[in-house]
Amino acid sequence: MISKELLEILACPSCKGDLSYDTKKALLICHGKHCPECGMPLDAAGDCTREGCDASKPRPAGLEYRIEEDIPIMLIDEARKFPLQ
Amino acid sequence: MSHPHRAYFNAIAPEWSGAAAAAACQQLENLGIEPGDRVLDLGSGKGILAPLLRQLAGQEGLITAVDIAEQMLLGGKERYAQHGIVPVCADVSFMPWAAKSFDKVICFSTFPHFRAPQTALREIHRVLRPGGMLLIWHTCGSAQLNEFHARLSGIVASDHLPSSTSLAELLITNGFEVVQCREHPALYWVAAKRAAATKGILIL
Repeated sequence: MISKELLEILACPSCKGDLSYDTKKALLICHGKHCPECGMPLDAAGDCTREGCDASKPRPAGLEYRIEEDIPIMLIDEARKFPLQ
Repeated sequence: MSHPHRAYFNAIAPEWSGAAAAAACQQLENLGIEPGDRVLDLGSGKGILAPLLRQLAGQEGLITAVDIAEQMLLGGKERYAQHGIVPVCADVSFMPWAAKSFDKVICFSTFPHFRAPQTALREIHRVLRPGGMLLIWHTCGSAQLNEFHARLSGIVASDHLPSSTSLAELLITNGFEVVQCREHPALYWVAAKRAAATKGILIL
C-alpha cells in the first residue's frame, strides 16, 4: 500500500508529472503526454524528446506503472502505454 | 533502454547477503541524518541500511529505498516492511520522484554500478532540496573496489569507482558543494551538499 506521504513525492520517471493511484488495479498512472513508442515525454510541438526516436508527431500516450508484490515498478520501458483521450 | 545491471543483480539476489557491509555500517552511527529527515537509500538492495536509517530518521522520518533489481528488493521485503519502508524499483537515470523531495540521499556501495554517472548526479541534484546532502560511501577505497570488481565476471567487472578527488570534481561540476572527502583502503566517504543556488556553475 502506497502511503499518502509517499504518493506526494512519487512522480513519473519519464515526464516527472503527478501520478494517480488505482488501488484496486495496483497501478500508478501518469496522464502526461508521452511517446507511445518509447515512453519519453513529448515536447510542446508534439515530438518525442528522445534523440533517435523515430516516432513523428505520435498520438500522445499515458503511462501505467504496475505495483508487483507491493513494489512499484517505475521503469519507463516496462510501463504500459495507453492512448490519452 | 536495457538494464544489464538489473539482470545481473536479479540473478545474484538469491545468494546475496550483504552481511559484511551490514556489519560495517553498524559501526557508523552518524550519517548526518536527523530525526524527521526525508531519506533516499539509492541502490538499497535487500535493505541492509534500513534499520540504521530508521533509527536515525525516527518514526517521523520518511525513508524510501530504490533499486533497479526488483529481486533484491523482494529479498529484503520483510526487512523493509519491519522498518516502515516501501521499496521502489527504478533507474537512477530516470528517478520517480518530484524535485526537492529529499533531505539526504545515501549511495552505499552503489555508485560504480550507475551506467551514466553524470546523469545520475543530475537526477540526485534534482531530487535533493537545496542544502540537502548526498553521501557516496564504500567500506574500502576505490583502488581496492576496482580490483575486486575486475575479478568478478559479468557486467560489474568493468564497473569503476573514480578516486574520491575525481568524484569531488564531478560533483562540483554538477552543482554540488563537497563538504567531506575521505579515502583510505578501508573507507571511501564523499559527502556533498546541493548548493542552495547554482549561480556561476554550469550544469550541462
